[in-house]
Amino acid sequence: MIKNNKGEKIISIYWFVILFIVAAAVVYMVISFYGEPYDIRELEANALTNKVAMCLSNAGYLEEGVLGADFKENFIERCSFNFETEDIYGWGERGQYYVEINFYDFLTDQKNSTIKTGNEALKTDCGLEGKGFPFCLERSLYLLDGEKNHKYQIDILSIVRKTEKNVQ
Amino acid sequence: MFNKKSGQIGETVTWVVATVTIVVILLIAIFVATSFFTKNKKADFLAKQSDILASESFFAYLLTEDDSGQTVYEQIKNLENLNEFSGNFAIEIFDEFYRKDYPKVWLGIIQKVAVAPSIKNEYFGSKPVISADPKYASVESIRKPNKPYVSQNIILTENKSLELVLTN
Repeated sequence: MIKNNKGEKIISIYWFVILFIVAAAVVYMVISFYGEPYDIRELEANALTNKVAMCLSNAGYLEEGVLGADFKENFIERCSFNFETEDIYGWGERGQYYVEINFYDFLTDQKNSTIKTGNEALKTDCGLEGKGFPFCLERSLYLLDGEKNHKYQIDILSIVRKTEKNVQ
Repeated sequence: MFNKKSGQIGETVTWVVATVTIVVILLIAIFVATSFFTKNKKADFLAKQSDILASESFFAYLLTEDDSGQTVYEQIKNLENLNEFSGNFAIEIFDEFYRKDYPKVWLGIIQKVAVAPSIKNEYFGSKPVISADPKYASVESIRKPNKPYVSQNIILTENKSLELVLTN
């Protein structure tokens, strides 16, 4: 009778151990799935590109003064961008965004003008695969210059880094 | 005495095998959860249904003039189809710029008729047929939620319009 009680105790302890292992495994799986952040940099880069396009164009035509020196120098203010980020992970000293716009003559492919803003160093990491690299999006659009009747191909490169918050 | 011992051994083996099975199943579940479900955890909202860059390029394309000073819009409206200038020019813009984002690019005339509403042209062929996702078949307002379907329309005549379709 005493021996039987001892066996039951061992079995109970065993069941508690198994229950604990199963619960720990479930918790681990849930944490590993929901603890991983969503990578929203593609959406962010798309939004950035769209905003640049909306700032440059108006129903198929280049906005007035886009190719001028004033627009180039004050691009951030003219297009109402704000590239400031939270001052964590050293983001304060190292910009997390970069935008480059190249204007090409559509017929000759000759580069007419370039606008660059943000952290240009991010550009060197484009095309590299891995978790620590920024997300780069390059898209093109075709626009007309109403005044000079020129045709332009405009390439917009948008880069978003923020790897610490989007990829782990 | 001997029979009792062999019974105990049998029962112990059963428990050990059961424990090992539980642990193995848990390890497989953890491996699958951590290596497959947490990979590429990208924010994926409803599929794209508009493209600002393509839309601006479409307007610029229609406003482009040929050597005689006639816009692409006027040419297509008069001919009710693409001609050599408008067709090749459309390929240069839409195929070159957007094919990498959307494998199916189509530009052509659509008409308000029940049978064969799209007119085939020699530059883009027939309009791609897109089947709606059965998951959302009952929701008419959500046309193609599982894949991008960008459509840009411009009216040519009462019954005909020019449509640009970008999809996967």
